[in-house]
Amino acid sequence: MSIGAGSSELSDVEGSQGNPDKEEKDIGWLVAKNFIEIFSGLFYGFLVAALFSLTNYIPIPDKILVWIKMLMMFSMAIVTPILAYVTQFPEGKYIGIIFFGYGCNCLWKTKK
Amino acid sequence: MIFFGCFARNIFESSEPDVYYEPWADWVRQVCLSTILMMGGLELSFAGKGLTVVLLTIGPQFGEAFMAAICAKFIFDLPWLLSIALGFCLGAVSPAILVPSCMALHNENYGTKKGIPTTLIAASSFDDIAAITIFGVCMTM
Repeated sequence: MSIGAGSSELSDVEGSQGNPDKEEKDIGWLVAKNFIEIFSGLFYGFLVAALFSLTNYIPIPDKILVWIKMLMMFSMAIVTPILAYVTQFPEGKYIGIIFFGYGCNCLWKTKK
Repeated sequence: MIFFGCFARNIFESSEPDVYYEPWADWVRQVCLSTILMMGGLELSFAGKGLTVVLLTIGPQFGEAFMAAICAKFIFDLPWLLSIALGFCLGAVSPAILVPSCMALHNENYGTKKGIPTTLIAASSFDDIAAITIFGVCMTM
């Protein structure tokens, strides 16, 4: 089993001899699932960024806080692909991570 | 690094599979890309350049992707969906190249008055999102 992107179902669709209505519904559902994954990635990114913004209220010197933030960011980069694999949402991970970075940029401002 | 990778893959072909476990290598690649995209996200800024970002996202990528798709269709006789998937695979901007370069330009204050490095980072991030989405949809269909 691989953590990579989802496998193609193109060949299955091309060679399928099954019910066309069911096939069309399945394709519709798979496309909708793609969009659900993308928007859930967006939501995940902003949600985690909002949670991480709470670190600004930790009463420790900024020099130490920056290193803590860096470790947290690296841990997010490591955890997100695993989370995407476990939740079967592979399309959302990169969008999630970009908007997580953007959310942190907006909420942390110069304290990054 | 690319040259050395090609060299190692072809010269040490017999011992290469013992060196790393493919799913782990895949995961390491994903972590590296996530780190780069996160760095890009930390530099994103849309203030006053929304239209520029949208045009930079759509124009070059879609042009390149559809030209590649048309070529793939007529040269390799691929199905249209697979051709478009290939086009968006080729048309996506590599964040591994663009983000560190733009961050270096930003740090040295090149083009910062007009916000060129941040605009490019924003456009490339959205470019990747569009490429991933359309590639995923084409492969699903």
